[in-house]
Amino acid sequence: MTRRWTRRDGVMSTDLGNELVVLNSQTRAMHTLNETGRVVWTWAQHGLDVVVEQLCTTYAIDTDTARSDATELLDQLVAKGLLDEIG
Amino acid sequence: MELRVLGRRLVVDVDDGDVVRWIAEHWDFPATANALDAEFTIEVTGGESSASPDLTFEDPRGTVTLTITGAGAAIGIAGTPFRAWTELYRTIAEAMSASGIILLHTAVITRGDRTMALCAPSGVGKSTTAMAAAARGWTPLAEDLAWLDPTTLRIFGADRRINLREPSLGILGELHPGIDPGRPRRIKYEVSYDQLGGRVWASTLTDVVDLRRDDGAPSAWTDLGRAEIVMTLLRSTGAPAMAANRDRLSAQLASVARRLGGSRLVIGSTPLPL
Repeated sequence: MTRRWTRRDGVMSTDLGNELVVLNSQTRAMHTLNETGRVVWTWAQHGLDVVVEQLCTTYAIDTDTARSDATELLDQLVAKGLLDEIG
Repeated sequence: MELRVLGRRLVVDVDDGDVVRWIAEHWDFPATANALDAEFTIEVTGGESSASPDLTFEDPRGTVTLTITGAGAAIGIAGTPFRAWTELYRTIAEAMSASGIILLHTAVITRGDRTMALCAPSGVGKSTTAMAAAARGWTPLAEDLAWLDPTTLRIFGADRRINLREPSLGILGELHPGIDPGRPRRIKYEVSYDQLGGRVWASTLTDVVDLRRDDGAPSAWTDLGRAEIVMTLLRSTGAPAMAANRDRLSAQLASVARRLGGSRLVIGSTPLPL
């Protein structure tokens, strides 16, 4: 089963089109995600396979690279308390 | 008591005179009472706002509950004597946010066709910068609190006076030698807008300024990108307690950031370039 993530309660995201600002209202820490990170954030709730597909389609990169980069970023977002992995 | 706050009805139906006086002091601004059109009513009553409120602030000094309805909000207060003023302010602000406007913790100054929100945490220099700006032809609109209508970018003052900490008194004496700040109220000295030459209550916001203090650097401006504008505004709004308000604010800030200029002003060792 593909891994999926959900936004943690209290996390705010402001989508500026080509980048994203994310606020963890518990810690008050703010983060910016670039265009690629925005794609990962937007599709994370649909699962890793969908994220990888979106990255490959949008940026014409190979599946292994997309999967590796997305997983690394998603793990960071979990570590920062912005996402929870749900399965 | 019934007030208008930027067009929103604020109906206060409580017996506690201290609560009524407190609400009048913090929310009754006749100059902007009808500045916007809004079909939204906030009712403050004793007891719980509903059996299942959307928000509850509990504090030993009192409990405040908020229930959002279609075209308004019900706020319930409990506690004898009620002293949970911060919670009540946050709750009314949350209700105002549900009505579609944004509360900014910011100083605001205006000159010609420019109106700048000076954003920074307490103690960085919002008031001092506003005071310095007033000495250079800018007119203050707010020192600490302002409401922003995200649709029109109209911004409205929501405070009554300028509060200065002791370290700012030297600068006050330098810039405005005729002003006597008197004795401090708690830890802050109060200067009226009239003493600074007057205020305006409303304008159209054009710029967001992220104030930073760096005594080792010269005072200077740099440009902000859109994400930095959003982060600066977020630091000034804080995150609403209600999820629906957080979602609304996220969308509002994305829209607002596209229409505003943004700068960082370092308050450094040289005179401010205002």
